Amino acid sequence: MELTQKKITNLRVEHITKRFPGVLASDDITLEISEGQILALVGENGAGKTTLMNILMGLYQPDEGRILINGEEVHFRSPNDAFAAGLGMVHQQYMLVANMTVLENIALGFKAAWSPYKLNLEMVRDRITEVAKKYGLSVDPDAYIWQLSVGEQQRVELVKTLCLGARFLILDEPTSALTPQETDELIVLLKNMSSELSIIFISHKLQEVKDLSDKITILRHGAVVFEGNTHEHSPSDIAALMTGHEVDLPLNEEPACEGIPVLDIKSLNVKSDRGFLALNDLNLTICSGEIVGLAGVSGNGQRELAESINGLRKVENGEIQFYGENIANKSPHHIIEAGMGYIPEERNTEGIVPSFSMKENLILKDTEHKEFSRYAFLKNKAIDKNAEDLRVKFDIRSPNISIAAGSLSGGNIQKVILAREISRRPKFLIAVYPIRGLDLGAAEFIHKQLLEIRHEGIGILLISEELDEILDLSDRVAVIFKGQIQKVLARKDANRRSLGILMAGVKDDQTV
Amino acid sequence: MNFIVNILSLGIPFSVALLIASLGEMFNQRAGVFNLGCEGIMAMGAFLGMLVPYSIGQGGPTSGMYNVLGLGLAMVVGALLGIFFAFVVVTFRAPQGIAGIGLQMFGVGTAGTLFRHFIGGTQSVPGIGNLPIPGLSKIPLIGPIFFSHNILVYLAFLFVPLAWYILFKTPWGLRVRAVGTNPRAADSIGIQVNRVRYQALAVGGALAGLAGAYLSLAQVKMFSDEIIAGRGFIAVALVYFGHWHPVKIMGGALLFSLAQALQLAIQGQGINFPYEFAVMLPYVMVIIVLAFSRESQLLGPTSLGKSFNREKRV
Repeated sequence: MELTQKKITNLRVEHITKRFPGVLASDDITLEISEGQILALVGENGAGKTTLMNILMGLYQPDEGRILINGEEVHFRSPNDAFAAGLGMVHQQYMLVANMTVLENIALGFKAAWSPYKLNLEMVRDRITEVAKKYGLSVDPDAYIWQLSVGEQQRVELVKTLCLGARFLILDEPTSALTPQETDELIVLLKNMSSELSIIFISHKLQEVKDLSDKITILRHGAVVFEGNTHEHSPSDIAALMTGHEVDLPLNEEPACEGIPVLDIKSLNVKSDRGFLALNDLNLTICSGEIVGLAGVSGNGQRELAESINGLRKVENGEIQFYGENIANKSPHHIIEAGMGYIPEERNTEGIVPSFSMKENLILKDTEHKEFSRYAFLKNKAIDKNAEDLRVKFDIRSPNISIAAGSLSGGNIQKVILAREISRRPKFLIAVYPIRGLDLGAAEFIHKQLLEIRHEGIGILLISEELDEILDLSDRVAVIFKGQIQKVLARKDANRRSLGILMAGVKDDQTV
Repeated sequence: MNFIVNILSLGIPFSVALLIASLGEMFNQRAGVFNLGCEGIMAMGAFLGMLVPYSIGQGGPTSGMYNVLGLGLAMVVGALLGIFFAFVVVTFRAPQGIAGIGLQMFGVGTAGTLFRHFIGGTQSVPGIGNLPIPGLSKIPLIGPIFFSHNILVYLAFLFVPLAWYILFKTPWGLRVRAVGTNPRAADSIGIQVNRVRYQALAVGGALAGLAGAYLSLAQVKMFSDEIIAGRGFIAVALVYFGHWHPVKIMGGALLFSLAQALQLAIQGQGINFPYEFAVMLPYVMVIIVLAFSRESQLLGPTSLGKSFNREKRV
């Protein structure tokens, strides 16, 4: 297909249907977008948003339906065809090669710079400068991707897409990994860009949808359930349409509990994978029956903190007093037996063994306990009963209890982990990004469970980047920045603005 | 002093088979595929490389031409075996480790069988003679160490910067690195991941074939079943050792070969040292160095060993 510079005045998809084994991912979808518009494509996880966009970009082939640009039917057999037509997509998981520079990543798609024996990097560099100037996006072409923060990587993705000639942008959950400030900046940027391009914007954060989009299309189970103009509908209307029922994320409204300190971290020093100090004299105290939210941009020591408390990372020095015992550098087994519960960051690789069945994953921490084993044998009946009980109690949607845990959806995997951790009756729980990537229904359920065990007197350390989650649930909010606690705020003092400033590394309010 | 010159002038040509094979393996791995069948392709290369000059030009005046033909045939068949391997692990997504061991056994077995059928017993060929570089080879110390070898030795070392240039400065090298590190990203930007992997495996196979033919035509000047003697596996290990970088891989190949030259020299000198241990020395060294070399996640091909399936949902 020839590269065109023609404007895209109208893009229309008609009756798109795509089946995956056992799933109808797109069900007769029709939608339309005109020049200069921003369309928000909204829906829960698994609603088929990303599949539809992958079809639009030529990554998947639709089973039925057609795509029209300016009224003419087009066929995209590969992403190259979609680029040639002027479409560009920023994927949710950034499509960047970590061990190459920004320049090389962009050159990868910039075919004009590919002479057979030499890569014309200067040509790519000129193009980057041109785009950066036009849209006010600054990037360092010579930085390696692994050196960049998530926000910077996203900017690289945008620059890349624009350098390759996109006149129609598709953004798949562009704010899911950004700080509140970065999100605001992105929204302003996209608004400015929309005077020259059309944008499809996938999100399930309703505030952004309200702020940014002109039109809204809601998908549920692969089908369009609603279309309309954004300004005519409130966020709660949209949420109800998205999930099919009224959603009410629970709030922590109880008075702060006056428990005793149970987890007391004193001048903790821990190294990161790359060998520098990720936690630098960190101090934090958490009482029984309270939720402390740890707010911060990821990469400021959250992972290292959670891992060192759970015995998964070496403590250089400092103490972790847990019910009066220093558990620093104790084995994970010892710490689990001491009553620590843990919902890890990577649910698929750290939270479960994906190839094990759901019922096996539910007893993973108790294989030596009398309840589930006798002599050297597992008690299969007890294991089955445990799984059946938890499946009902935690509303885990699975065909049976013997299914491989890895084949469940993200929300159900998280429920399996939560069920295992809570049913063990821990004395304390560390929950890392417990609702990351989950839809509203699953998030609601998990938040209710967390509030319930808080009510029972269990202390919780909630690590999250989602300020709404932290503000909804926490009794106190601690802000982490570069391996130290910037400040601990009571719930009444914490709001998006105060936290955002602290997360950006400003310690006192005076400068802003 | 003579002892050291001997070791160096012996070790450098020893390193060539390893160097060529591991540079080929580097292209494979940079594209995300490790080929444990390297040993098998080398065996085929060694047999075919010597078959041509043995059967049509034995000792004749134009044997140089036939040597070139032999090397060429070894490279072509090596490339075909690489493509065959790609068919198995890229198109059909077979597990690379097992498929590689299969290719190794296939190559070594086939080469041995064909050898017995076409040649029979131990037969030597004139092979590729040394080509001392006029002038330079007369320099004391440096001359015998660096400039008195056969032409393939010079070419192999010239290939190191060339491989670096291909990998880091050409569009093809860029594509190879991208599909080995983040194939999904490469795919999303319009690069045909599997096609690039086929190309890299063909190049890797051709180089493995050439490395095998070097052994039979330039180093040993005959063929036997054990001619490769694990060099294919050492080549795979050297790629890890060298962190997928041509210059570091060259360092590894030299280190291993100098250790081998050292052990031969120890035996030759009649030093009272159990030769069994001397023979072990280079292998032990590789194990120790590999055990202590730190893995570098930031630079290597992070999708090494994983097949690519666009429509597999993650």
